[in-house]
Amino acid sequence: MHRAKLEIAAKELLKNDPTGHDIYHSMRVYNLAKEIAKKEDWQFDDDILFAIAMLHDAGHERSIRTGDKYRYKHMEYSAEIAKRVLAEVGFPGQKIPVVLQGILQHDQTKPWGLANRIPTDIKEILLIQDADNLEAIGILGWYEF
Amino acid sequence: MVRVLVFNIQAGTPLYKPELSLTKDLEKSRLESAIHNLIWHLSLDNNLNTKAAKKMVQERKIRARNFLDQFLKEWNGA
Repeated sequence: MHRAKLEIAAKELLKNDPTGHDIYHSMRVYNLAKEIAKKEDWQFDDDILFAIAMLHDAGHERSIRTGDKYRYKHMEYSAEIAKRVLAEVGFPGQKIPVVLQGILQHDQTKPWGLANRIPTDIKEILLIQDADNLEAIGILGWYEF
Repeated sequence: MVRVLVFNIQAGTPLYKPELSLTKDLEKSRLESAIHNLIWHLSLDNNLNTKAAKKMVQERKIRARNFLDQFLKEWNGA
């Protein structure tokens, strides 16, 4: 139930992003992360993976709007938004800290010194990091513009 | 690839600055040219955590490199 609500909330949050970080990007990251997990034969918590994927760029549009040219702050903004959204949709409370950590650490392309660069061994976070990186290199984005 | 390009162009970064090296100081030049940022993104496989992703990225990098090769050929009038 919270999953459907989460997807609706993510669609709304991402609808104004002009740079391709939209709901389709979030869905691709989720599907790609699952595919990587399957190939690695990794077990993971699907609620956590889905929530990180849906909300990892929720603060992207705010970053753009507030003049954060290279979106260094989008992970912090996304985590702030996610904290509110996860509570609203009734997401299991004990899983929220990992989701927020995953959002804060999803983008390894931003400068050293931010929370994103702290090493982690949490599988859901490692999967999202890889899926998001693959998205940046892949050609799929052609079809979104 | 397109997301990287759009990301930079939307931020007001030029598409390409031929005076910048394509191999050196990419950490710096990626913020000055969308194409340099794309080249820098091709090194993201160093950040990948899983063997599966490292394998999957190889095909994507071939396509990206083909795009870059064609871009540079056209830029130089070929």
